[in-house]
Amino acid sequence: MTAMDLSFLTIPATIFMLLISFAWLFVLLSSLAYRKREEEGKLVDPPLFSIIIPAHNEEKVINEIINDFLQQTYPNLEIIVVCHNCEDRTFEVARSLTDKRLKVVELRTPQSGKALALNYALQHSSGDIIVQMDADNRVGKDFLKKVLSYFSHPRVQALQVRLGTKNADFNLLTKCQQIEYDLFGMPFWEGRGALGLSCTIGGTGVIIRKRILEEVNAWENELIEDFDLYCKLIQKGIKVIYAPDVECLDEKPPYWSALIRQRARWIRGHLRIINKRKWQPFPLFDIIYMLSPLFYFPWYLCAFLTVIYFPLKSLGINITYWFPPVHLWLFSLVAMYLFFLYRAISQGRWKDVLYLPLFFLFSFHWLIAFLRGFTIKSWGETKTPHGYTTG
Amino acid sequence: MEKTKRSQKYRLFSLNPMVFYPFFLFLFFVCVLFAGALLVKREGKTSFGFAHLLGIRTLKDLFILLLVILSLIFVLMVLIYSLGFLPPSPPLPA
Repeated sequence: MTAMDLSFLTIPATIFMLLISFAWLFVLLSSLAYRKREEEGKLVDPPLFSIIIPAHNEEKVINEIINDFLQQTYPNLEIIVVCHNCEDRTFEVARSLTDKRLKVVELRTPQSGKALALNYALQHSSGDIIVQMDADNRVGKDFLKKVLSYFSHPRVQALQVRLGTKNADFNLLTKCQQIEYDLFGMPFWEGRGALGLSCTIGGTGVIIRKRILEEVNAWENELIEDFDLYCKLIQKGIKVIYAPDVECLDEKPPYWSALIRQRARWIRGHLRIINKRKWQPFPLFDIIYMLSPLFYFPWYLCAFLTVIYFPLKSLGINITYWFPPVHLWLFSLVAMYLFFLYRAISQGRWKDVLYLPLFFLFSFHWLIAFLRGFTIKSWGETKTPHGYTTG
Repeated sequence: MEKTKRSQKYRLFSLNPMVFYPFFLFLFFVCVLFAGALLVKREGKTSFGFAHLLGIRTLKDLFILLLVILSLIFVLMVLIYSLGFLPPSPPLPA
């Protein structure tokens, strides 16, 4: 029988997986040292905020976010809603609200993509500070007032607000996403802040000076245009500040198929951006972050080797391979869940502790999304439907 | 002899560990899912059915959920196997 040693494949793949696991753990643990910076400065003139909202078939939710901004305690604002390739009544519903600060425009393009609507809105904006929101978001009345406290300091160029979950009680899928954001996503941003790194951009709740957006040529029509913008910002040396005290509520996909579609787009988008920017210099932690979707590859390699083991054996080929540090991966996994436990308890969220086994199961959807990612072609086919709330 | 008698009495223990562990893990995570759904129902005070609470609207959703559970079982089996928790098969009943 012929013997074939495939350790040359399995060892680098598992070391890569471990590197990513420990980098995530390190950033999460760094969040324990995070302290919010006080960015108070003096304002000469109160700035005009341009709130830009791209909308594609959002008739169920569009009025909520418009009303939230019309009721802000800081009144110096304009709202630009771009109804992009809508097939429902989004345009009519948004136009039914009358306020001189509200502009509703329609955009028809052969291509799909959020970036097209965002750039169109940017052209129609006249404010100094651009607030990028999604149509399904909700914000409190003092949202802009809090944002202003950051932008009163001239050093602040871009801000990412905290992302909360609007429909956490809808079902266990939305609950798990709330836990994912609260116990992993937000501490991840805090950890980056504690390490002096720029906060990554979350696709919504992003506030940025218009001048900066124009300097970097705004959004490009990528599957994840937010991450592409983030890459351009850090290459320009612009740091995105995380604002944990300013919250924007976001609606999460409530069904497995919608969730996998959304996450597959993220993974495919990530891979496209890695390919697009592979020769450009980035800080080490950003390279690790960019490569993070490949974290799932070793498990597929492991599954593939398991599947081909017996057929090859019957053909007289005996394959051997070694996955060296599985125990270390288990260590990082346990440490990460201990961190989640600490975070939930320290915030008085005892109920979230009960959901942790469920969250563990939920986290394996990434393995499915990774495979599905290879079938994603355009932004339009992965659009998440909205309007699924209990309230 | 004693072991063989026990295997005859409790058929589950006579299963091959490569079948027993995945079966046990599958049942465990199905229980976790149902307990989670009950918790969400209680917390959200909703009148939605179980399928809805589990995030299932179409057969595709159910299929994805099963795939997620299978992925989890696969990864856990790799861990169990590599950590040496997989005992040799028990003797078959006479």
